[in-house]
Amino acid sequence: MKARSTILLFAGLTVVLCAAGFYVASAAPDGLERIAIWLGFAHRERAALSGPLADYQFPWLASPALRKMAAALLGALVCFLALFGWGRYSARRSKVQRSKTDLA
Amino acid sequence: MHIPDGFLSPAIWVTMGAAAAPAAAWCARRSRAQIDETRVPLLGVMGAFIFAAQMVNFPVAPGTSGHMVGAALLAVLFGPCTAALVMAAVLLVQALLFQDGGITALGANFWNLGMAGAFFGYLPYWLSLRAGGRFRTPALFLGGWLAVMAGAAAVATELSFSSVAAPRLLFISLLGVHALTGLAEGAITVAAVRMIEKLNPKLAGLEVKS
Repeated sequence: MKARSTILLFAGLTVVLCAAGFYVASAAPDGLERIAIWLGFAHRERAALSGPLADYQFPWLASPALRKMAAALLGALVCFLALFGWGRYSARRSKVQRSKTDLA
Repeated sequence: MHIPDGFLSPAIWVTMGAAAAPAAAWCARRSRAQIDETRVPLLGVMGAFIFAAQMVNFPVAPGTSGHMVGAALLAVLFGPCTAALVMAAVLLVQALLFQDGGITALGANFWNLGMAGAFFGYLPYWLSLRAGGRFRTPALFLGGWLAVMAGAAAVATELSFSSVAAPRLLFISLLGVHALTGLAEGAITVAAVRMIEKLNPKLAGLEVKS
């Protein structure tokens, strides 16, 4: 089933959200963070591992806006490639299994 | 709603992590039988879209924000098993690259946002399909809301067992705040599915069997 227009729409929305989403995003803590502050367990937060792009910042650029934009686009690209790769592998494996079943 | 490192007690995060592996493997097995090669690009693009959408927080109450989860939308498009796996990929990228959601809490976050989000998010839509497609729009809305609420209830349960605060307070506050976020999630789910149906009428999940 072809889904080109849907793919284009959501790819476009992804690029717009990555490039400009942080301009309109609320800086207020999210529900869980807010409740952790209210109920007094926010201090328990400790990063077990520091991510290379922590806080959605691409550290090798000078401009703060470009740092966020690049980090967001990179994250979206990694998600796309990981899921595309996995989907391709799964679809092919399932096709091979189906044809084996048909031959048996 | 991503749980960071440090909130969950070791017993809870180890248990949730250990339970996440077989759940993901089961989803991968179920989803493999349903993946059609022509939908793979859409799968990748929707994963990237959910990642991007989760970065944009919107105000839900004074001093509190929320963000889209997307599990219900993915479940309608691809079925709950594939949706849970897409959520797993997004959570992995967020945790490993961006420190958004804890590494130790990855298993719990997969259960909360991936499994609970996808399966509870899909439930009303599945019931609507069983009823011949009646109440489809309310089912989509309810699915979005329920995905967020199920995730919040799971977070409250895990935090309660981790003894970070009184269970009653955790449940009331988490479900209260996320009831509002869920309304936005429901509206986004309806709008996105409507938009997809206009562009590709056969795409929005009617044929999904999970």
